[in-house]
Amino acid sequence: MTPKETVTKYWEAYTRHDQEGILSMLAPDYNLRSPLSGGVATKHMVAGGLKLFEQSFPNLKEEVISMVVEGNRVVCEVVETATFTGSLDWPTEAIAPTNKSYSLPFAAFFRVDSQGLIVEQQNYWDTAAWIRQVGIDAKLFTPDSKSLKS
Amino acid sequence: MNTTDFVKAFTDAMTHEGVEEMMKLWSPDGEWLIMATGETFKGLDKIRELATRSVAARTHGSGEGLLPFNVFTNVEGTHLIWEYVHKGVVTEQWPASTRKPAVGTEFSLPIILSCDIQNGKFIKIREYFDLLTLTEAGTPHHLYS
Repeated sequence: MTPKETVTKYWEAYTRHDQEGILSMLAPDYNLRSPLSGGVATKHMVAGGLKLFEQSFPNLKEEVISMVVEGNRVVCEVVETATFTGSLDWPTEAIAPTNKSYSLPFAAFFRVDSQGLIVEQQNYWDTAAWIRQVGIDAKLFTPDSKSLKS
Repeated sequence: MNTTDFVKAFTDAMTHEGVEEMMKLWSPDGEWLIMATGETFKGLDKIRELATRSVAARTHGSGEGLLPFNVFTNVEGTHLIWEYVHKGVVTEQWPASTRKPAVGTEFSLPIILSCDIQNGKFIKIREYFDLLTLTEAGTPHHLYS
């Protein structure tokens, strides 16, 4: 599988809400950096995040706008849309859905290994725009909050 | 100018605050979009204004600046990716905003530029970053850790 095929399958799995499909595209030593990840998130942490967000944003869709490939590096521009309709269950706190929708353009960098699996990902998305649209308090994601532990 | 030279010229301009050198790489009707704020800077005068404003808004100490780490184009040379970390200190010339960081705030902001190139000139740059990382520098937002 080429890096382009790997990343394409990753986004397709996202839009199918196929969590196993998403995770199957990630290498065992996969790591994610994003504004919300607070450093490096592992595959195990991402699996937890997927379950959480599937419940909260069941209609989530990813529309890939552009994809640039060079060797094992891929960068995508994506528009994510969803509606916050299900409880966002932190380990010790549940946040009631606001029923607000969001549309968020973001970019993602991927590095794909020789096995055709994503080994590195960095997301460039604007947390401020997201929390404003869905009506979530930014303080929920600070280190003092009840975040998802590995 | 071939693609390699074009990318080198852009990288030199970006890492050395070469506003006028960077302007030479733009098509007259080019656009620079800041995705986090929704701002669009269209045309050379507005892009120069953005670049000049950005340079004035921060200072760089030792080891700081625009630090690129993934820079590449597609095979056709029509699309450039310029991924970097911007490390600096906020100055009093930071643009007015309701969530303006305090003067002297140190920031480290990952940014990616997705650039469209036509006839050897930029026609559009889309700049992606997390505004919260900037306006609440020093307050990391953690979902997983």
